[in-house]
Amino acid sequence: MKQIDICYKYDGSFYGMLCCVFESFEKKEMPIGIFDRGGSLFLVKNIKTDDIKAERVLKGVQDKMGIIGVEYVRLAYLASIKDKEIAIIHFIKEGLNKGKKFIEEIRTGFGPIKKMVAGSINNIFLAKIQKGIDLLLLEKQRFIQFVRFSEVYNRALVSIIEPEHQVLPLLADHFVQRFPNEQFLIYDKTHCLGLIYTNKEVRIERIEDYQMPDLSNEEKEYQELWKMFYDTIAIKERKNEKLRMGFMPKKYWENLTEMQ
Amino acid sequence: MDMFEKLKILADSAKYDVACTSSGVNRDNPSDGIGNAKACGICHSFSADGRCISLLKILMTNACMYNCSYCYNRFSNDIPRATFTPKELAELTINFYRRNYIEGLFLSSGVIKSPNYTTELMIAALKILREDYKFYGYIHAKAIPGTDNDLIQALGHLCDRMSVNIELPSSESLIALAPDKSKNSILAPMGFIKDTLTENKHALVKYKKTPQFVPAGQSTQMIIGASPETDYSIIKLSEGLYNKYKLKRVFYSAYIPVVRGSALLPSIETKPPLLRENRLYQADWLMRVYGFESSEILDEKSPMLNPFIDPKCNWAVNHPEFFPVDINTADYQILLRVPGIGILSARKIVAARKWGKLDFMHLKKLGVVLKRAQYFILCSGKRAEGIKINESKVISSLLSKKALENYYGFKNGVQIGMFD
Repeated sequence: MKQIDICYKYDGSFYGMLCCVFESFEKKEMPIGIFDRGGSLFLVKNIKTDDIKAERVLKGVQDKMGIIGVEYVRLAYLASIKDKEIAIIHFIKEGLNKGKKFIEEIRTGFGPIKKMVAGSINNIFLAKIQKGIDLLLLEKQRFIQFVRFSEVYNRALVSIIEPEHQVLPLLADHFVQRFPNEQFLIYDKTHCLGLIYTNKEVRIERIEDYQMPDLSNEEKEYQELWKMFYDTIAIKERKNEKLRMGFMPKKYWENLTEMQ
Repeated sequence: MDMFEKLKILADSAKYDVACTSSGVNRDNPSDGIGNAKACGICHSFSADGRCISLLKILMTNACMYNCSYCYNRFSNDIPRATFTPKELAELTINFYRRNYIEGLFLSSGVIKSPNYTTELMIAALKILREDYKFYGYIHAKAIPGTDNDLIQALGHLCDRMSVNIELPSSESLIALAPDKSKNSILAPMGFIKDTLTENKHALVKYKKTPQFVPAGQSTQMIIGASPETDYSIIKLSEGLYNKYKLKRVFYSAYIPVVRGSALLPSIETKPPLLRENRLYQADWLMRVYGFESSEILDEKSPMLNPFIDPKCNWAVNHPEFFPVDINTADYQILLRVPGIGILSARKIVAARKWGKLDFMHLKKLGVVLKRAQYFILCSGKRAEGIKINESKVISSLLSKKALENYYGFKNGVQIGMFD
């Protein structure tokens, strides 16, 4: 692949990104950057999203790296990684060469030990992908803990979160399985996306702006009860701010009912 | 009395219970109710003391007829009293659960009227949750000593975990401080739960439809520092409980003085022995996960855990004959004994050495704390470069400067006010 002084621009979708991968492989070129919003000083090539091309990429990944390879590409896409599209191209390129063992290698940081220690340019991208996916999965776990619903619109549950990564697709299963008979919305304010579950169907939708509606007295009462429980359950002789912050970093406090 | 006041009183009275884990059982929701349970357990918040809030930890009532002197809820203590109705409690649990505040319910209680009556109240609350609301989330319930077996059994079919608090680590202390409870009244339900659990497991193999009985097992807790037991007798007791009663966990709770002017208890100004509690948890962990026996950790001659060094390091520096171990050949269980190697890094070592011989640089990448481990290991027969081994050097690498002075002080019998 030769390095070219051109940027790709795509629509920001998963399939759109896969089409950038397709383009890069087909033309045997490595663009200097790939982005979905804003402009660039470099020459820009617009990449059209084409489902057939995208699925060809996925099939190639699955054939060579297995289903876990596809999962890696999907997770990497959801993670906030600097120059993530370029990193994903490197990841796929390397993976197509090495096959199934490759995922195991980067997951455990092992495999051909010597190479890992020596490091190479590709390893930097791979390490970035692994790190990004780790952080994404950690954040998913955090929101399984820290999503707080308010009951609004007559028994629907609404939560607003501000994640760094696109965690909504990863949260869907957990909350649907837990609350099969509820209706809920989890709004990701960072990425302007909403996870919506109504009538036993779940979907993710772009929502430009969303504000929490006014709360009923009953809802306010439960929130007060919860806050009071939270304050009461702490043992003041054991106060330990550092420990709390380690488990529940301050960046989540803004949307935690009990920390208001 | 309104809900706000009731919750405040009954949460305040429940807060000294330490166990708040929601782990040990997976249960799916067949889509006809609310909630499910995850074996890993989920913490939903952390209170100002840094402890996990997973369950709505609450008492059914704090109107207790007993007068255990270490207990905040003893009847002679002048505090406001409240009792939930089963319906109030179930409703509150569901409403907290729906908002993703909690993973389930931790229901304990003071003893009102009689142990049986108290347990019946608890059963009524859990029935509303499980049957009316079809709640599939986690429930931990206390078995009240003195309750009839058939009621304990009914309670056990409604919850995931049960616990009987052992309260104090010896029967002498129980007699002195908890005159209404005895060793037997505590151990009887524990034994009954264990036996019923075993039967239930057999029955489940035979008949699929058998209702489950406390699928996440039973646990207990004891108060540390209210009575004069040594750490050695405490961990021996725990070891016995793990072996004999198949407990999942023993929890330790540093005593927080709640009584003024008692001749039997530490004075009200006493700080809770948090460091001691922490060392006991470490020792407990060594027994449960690392395959240590209590007699390896402490003995009659040195019956207290050294507060200035963790028990695993302490064992290692006192057993030079065990080391060094070779990273490339030693068994998993042996690797676990090396300071600086934990469960995760030991597993990684075993997985990674299949690919080739490991050296010190690899170990670092695997997350081994070389600063500690280097004194105890070989890589393919070789020590880390420039390492000289003598006891003081090893110990000083494991401890901070300040802890080092204290460590020798403790070892030579000068205790520095730590457990006063």
